[in-house]
Amino acid sequence: MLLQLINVEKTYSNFGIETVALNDINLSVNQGEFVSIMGPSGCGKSSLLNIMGLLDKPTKGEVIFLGDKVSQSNSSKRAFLRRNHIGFVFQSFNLIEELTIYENIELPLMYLKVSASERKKRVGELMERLHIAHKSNYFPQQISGGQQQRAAVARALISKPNLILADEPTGNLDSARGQEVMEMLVELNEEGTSVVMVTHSSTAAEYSQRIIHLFDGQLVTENLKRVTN
Amino acid sequence: MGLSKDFSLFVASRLRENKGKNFSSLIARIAVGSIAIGIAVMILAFAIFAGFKHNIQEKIFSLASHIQAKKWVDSYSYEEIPVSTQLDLYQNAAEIPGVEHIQVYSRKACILKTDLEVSGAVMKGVGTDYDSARFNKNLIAGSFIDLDKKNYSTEIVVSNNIAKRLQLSLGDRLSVYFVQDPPRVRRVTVKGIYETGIEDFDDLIIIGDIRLIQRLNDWDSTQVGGFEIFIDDFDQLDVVFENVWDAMDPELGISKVTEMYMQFFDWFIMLNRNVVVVLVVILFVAGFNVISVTLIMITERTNMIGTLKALGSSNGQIRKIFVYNGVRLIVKGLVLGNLLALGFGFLQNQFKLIPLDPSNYYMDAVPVMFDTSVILLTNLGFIALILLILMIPTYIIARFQPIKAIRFS
Repeated sequence: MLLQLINVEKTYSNFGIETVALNDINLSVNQGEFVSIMGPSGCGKSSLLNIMGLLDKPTKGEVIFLGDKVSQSNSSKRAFLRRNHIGFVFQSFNLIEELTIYENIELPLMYLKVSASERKKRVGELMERLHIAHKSNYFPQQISGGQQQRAAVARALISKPNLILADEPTGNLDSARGQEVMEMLVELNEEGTSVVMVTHSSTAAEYSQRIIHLFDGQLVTENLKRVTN
Repeated sequence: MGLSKDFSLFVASRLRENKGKNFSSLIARIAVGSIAIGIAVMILAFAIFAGFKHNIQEKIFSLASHIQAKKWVDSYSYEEIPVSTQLDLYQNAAEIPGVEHIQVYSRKACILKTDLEVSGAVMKGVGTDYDSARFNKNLIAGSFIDLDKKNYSTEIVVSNNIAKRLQLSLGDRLSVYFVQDPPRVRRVTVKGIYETGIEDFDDLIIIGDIRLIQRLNDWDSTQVGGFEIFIDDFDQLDVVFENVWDAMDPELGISKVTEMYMQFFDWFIMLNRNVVVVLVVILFVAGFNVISVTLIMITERTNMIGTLKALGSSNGQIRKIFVYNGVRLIVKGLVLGNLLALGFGFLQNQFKLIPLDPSNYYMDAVPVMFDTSVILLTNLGFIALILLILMIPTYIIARFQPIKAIRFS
């Protein structure tokens, strides 16, 4: 088991008014799984992804990541786990515009203190694989949305994480570019990386093995879609 | 490919290479400017204060020395009780630690009379041991009196104020009446005109030959009004004063220049306080600017901070990015500020760009006197304090929640 959420609740308090974002969520993600989270806006998808990505703490319940209880771990511990085991892909790519594509992808390796030669080798290989090697010295704003998302995926993958959390990875892309990105995620998943993806798109969700539907902060249904290798 | 080893330094360097795009780059330029002006004003404030102090002190010392020794007189009269040059203090002054030079003097009240005007004055008689080099800086016309004549010299040096009052020019002759019983009169020639800008001297003092006063007082050549003592280092005045006290003959009394001209030295202390107040204000403004710029930079890069945190960067690593950028601004500002201050100081000293009214300020232009150690200390102090202030806004980074910065939705 890679990730497990047990009776997780998340409540936000704003000016004394409490809003329940997640209510009694029980969910697990196995190593090598591809899970999609779907649901209408405001159903708690983002809150769930934040908690799964160790970016936020649940109000109640427990999060177990790689066998460790981490729901109340401090920020350093959670940063360590994110750095070493989780890759993020954002809807708006979130590449750092002052860095070239190469440097954006290289970034996670820099704070993992990987040697310069090893960094060069790994970034080069990944860029080749994702067909963006020729954009190495370009800045994010100089390449297409599809290429930016490939770069974002490369950045998420460079540290060889156990889990990729993707937030609407095709949300800002046309259908052709969106399909390319989804095929890439499937390919990575088939190589053993777990993927959890939040999406509104049922087409994108079709690429996953399991679809979780959320409604009003509660897990409604789980559908098995694709057969795991 | 930018394979810098330090993550924070690397990102910081890339953020500044792409300058010019953001609002913060404009603010950064303003911050650099404010730091530059701040440090320049601080250096100049110290340099001008030091210049003022030095110039005024030198003027005072040139006519009053650092320490004066004479017989105690329980009155404010200019008539003196003679002291002997045979005393140990005069004979062995060179052996007293800290003493640079000793010279004799004598003073006598007199009335200066030309065909048109009359004015009271005090003649300060000096001898061959007089260090005229110190005094000559005050000369604005003519030269110092000739003390090498066999008989006493009838030349005098008058102040510009007295020269104007009596409409005297170089080479003019006038009568000097010495008020004693019986009154005596001597004809003297104006050899030089001086100006210190200090009314205490300029309204009163004329310089003449001590032998003239000795003759008028019926003193022999070993009898003088007192001794003027100059010391090596003014900062050691109290120590040397004690040394002189220990070494001097019991019949003498000594006074420090800081006591005799207390009003000036008190004024320096007051000026010093003003400089400190100005410096605190400057530091406050510069510090506030650095905080503002750093906060703007941080706010402008909320998304980047969130992304870096999501990717696993520690708060410390992200904080260092902004500290490095702040340090760059500070260093840039300091370099510019130092150049500005040194450049202005050089131009001011060369061309007297900012003139002053000598009757109010004792000098004709703003004096700038740089002291390397003061410049270094000012820079180091500025860096240390601003760096400390810079740390404050970067702590806000720790409070940034990555989810709020990037917003999954």
